[in-house]
Amino acid sequence: MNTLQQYSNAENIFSGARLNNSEYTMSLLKEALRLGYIDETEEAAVKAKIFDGLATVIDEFTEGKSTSVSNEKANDLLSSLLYNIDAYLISLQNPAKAYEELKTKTLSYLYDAGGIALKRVMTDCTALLFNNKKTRLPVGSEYYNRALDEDVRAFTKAYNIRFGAHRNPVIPRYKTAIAPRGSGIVRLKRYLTNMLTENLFCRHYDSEEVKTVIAYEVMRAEDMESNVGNLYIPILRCAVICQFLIPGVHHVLLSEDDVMTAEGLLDEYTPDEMKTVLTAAFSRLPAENSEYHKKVFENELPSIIQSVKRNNLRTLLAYLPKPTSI
Amino acid sequence: MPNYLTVFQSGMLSKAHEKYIARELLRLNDVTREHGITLSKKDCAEIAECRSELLRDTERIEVGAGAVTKIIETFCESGYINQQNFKDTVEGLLECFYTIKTETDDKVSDEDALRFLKYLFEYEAGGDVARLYDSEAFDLFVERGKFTFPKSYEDDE
Repeated sequence: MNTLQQYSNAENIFSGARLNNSEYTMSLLKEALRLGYIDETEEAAVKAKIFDGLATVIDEFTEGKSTSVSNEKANDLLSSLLYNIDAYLISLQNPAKAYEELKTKTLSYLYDAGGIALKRVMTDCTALLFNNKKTRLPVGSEYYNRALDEDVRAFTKAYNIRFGAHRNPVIPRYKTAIAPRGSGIVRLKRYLTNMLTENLFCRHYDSEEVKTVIAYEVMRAEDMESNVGNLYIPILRCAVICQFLIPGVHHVLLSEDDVMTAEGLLDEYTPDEMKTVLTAAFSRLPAENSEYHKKVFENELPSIIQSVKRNNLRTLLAYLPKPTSI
Repeated sequence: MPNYLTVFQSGMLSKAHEKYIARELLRLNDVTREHGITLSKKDCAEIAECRSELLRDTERIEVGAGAVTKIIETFCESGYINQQNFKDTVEGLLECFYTIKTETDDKVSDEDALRFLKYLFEYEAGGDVARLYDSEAFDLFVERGKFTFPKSYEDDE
């Protein structure tokens, strides 16, 4: 088999690989073995190379002053080494090529190349933070504002690409509607991307309406003695109900009467019918990254349907209450 | 955090590593012979195995011959060491070395740990590895990660 044929063969083999981006190097090795691309001897050789690389990392970490570390520290350093290598191999976007690099390049090369890939991710995070601040909600909760003004900066300042790449030095208390997977700087990038997606969605609506919905959401949380959670979800819920009530018009502010009307209309449907009409309403919402919003909507749908059937839709929505007479 | 160490530290890897360590120790006879002491192949294999057990007991990892090589090089010239007690003394010193590193949370460098161990062995324990842990000096060093050597010892150094 010539080189081109070998490469084509590798591509074919790896096309069936089940790879895990959170443990890319290990899953690449495991799949290479499972798919018959390598045998156990070669697998052991690659593992031995990685383990020997740990010696270099320990030496670098201890500045040459220690030849041994605790198992806990060694596992920590090994995790960081693998995180760096993962970053490089994933950046190749080709499992067959990634395996060849893993097999043929020195550990030092892979580690350094991984560091470069992670620095690019850090740069992406800086840009994402800037864009998030530019598009921040007209009013935020304590956690939301702290995430943008303090937590992300604290994370990147404390983040150690070389010896703690897998770690999360700071975890913002403000949660996005979909929790970012993974760890380290990649997780932070996903978090900021999710937040930006949510911010951009909210910007489709009048800022005063968004402010009002958030204010009532905060009040609702206080009444229920719970922390204010994600701020985009209440906007999304209101947007869907508004779209259901008046198709084609983009609002998020509901009155108490609107909520009662929506509940009454929806209650005439079976749950499956409700799902259909609400999904149709959702599909009319303006949004970039529709996959993200669709996933959140699908997560929220069961609660909306259930609350309609229990005649307590108002507990799920932030709305303008009727003025009470004195 | 997944425990990657268990993936990499398979039985086969550590056995192969013990053989490598034993070979490295045998090479040190070039140094120790000058002081009338040598290690046999059997001694080297036993020290390598003891090293593995100590690393397991103290939950440490060491890639390379590292500490045991430095201990042999440092202590082979000691007046308390002879051909009969060399292997057992090396094993006792190695145990104390790893204990110091673990108890000080790795805040002490190998060089500082060895320097203190030498003081402990020569001046406090009288060359008896069983007495290494008896002294107040050991407790102080482990607690503070540093030690003020007596002036007489520093002059001798």
